[in-house]
Amino acid sequence: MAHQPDDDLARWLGEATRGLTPDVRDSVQAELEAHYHDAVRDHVAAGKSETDAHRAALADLGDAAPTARALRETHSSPRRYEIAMILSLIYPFAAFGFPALVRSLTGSAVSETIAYNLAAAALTFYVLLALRRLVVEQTGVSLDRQISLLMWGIGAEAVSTIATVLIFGPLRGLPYLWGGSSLALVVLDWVTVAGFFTTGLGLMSIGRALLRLDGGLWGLRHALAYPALADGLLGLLLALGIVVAGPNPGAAYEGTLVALSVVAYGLHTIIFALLTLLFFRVLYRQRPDPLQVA
Amino acid sequence: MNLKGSLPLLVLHVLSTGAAHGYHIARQIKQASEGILDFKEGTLYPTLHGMEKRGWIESAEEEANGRTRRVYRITGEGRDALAQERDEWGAYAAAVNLVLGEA
Repeated sequence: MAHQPDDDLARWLGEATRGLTPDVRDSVQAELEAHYHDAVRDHVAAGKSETDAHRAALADLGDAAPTARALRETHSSPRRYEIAMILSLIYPFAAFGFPALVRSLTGSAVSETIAYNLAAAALTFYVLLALRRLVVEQTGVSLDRQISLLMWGIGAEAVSTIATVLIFGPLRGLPYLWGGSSLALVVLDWVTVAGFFTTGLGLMSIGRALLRLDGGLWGLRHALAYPALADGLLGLLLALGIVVAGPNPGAAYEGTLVALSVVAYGLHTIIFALLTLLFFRVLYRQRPDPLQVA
Repeated sequence: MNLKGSLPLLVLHVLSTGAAHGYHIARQIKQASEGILDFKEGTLYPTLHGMEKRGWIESAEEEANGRTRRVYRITGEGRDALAQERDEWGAYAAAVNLVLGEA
């Protein structure tokens, strides 16, 4: 296949400017492209063939990754780390305090459940997206698949729980054990169980991905990965327990599942807040100085 | 050779002699150092943009040979920073030489 210098340049420019806003990206790409063509011209003038000149000009630019990291750091506000850390801190409040506040204001258990699910899901999504972006920026490791899995799981749990209380009123016990009183409830039960299962898988896969990150400042990864793995496993056990129980399993069995559910939720909330807070702090501390990149 | 954090100083020095675009700045540094200071040129641009955000340099787009180039100029703050960076580099180099001289 013929050598395609324009394709190589386009690929390099795309990688070097990934994550920049469209305006900044276009401006930076134009600047780098002009640099590249000046270099090609000089290499040709120095006696290189066109093909070799393009290759040499691209080599002069160097690896795209350090340029990309430094460009993103230059063109983004450090406040994004601070905002992410603050949201991590208020996550437990959103999970427990905000719903209680809504209930005290509205006097409605349904409002409380909806408030919990909306606040927790919105904050979780924001923090997960920030985590995904910052981890890729600083390590080149993609957590896309793992975080998407977790977001789908949390989304399914939130949507099914909100739908359940809107249709059937306040929760009494575990909604997914009400069992078979209507087709809608059965469907919502299974969506919730699937949500638990997917959340568990997502947490476990994030735990595994953290363990595979390089050492160094990522030494913290063990402290974060193992609780995430444990929490993920709890979620899977809970989903399995619900499936095995079937509808109306009896008070003793439901009591066990309630206890497991409370542990899973409590552990999840604390782990999520600590995990993201520590991660953002580590990322903040090791962010590159664009003036010292060369 | 790695620039050991000296790129902002070198850029400020080049721009103190006149406005220039990124490619020209890179060439000046490499030629003046007789090729010893050889850095990956892509990393010049985050440095230039960071320096602009600090107010050390300013830039404007200019058309030349049918291509748009961003041309950089040093500011008053940049001249102050150049003087300070030059002093710091001098002190650093002197300290390293002292150690090497004693070895």
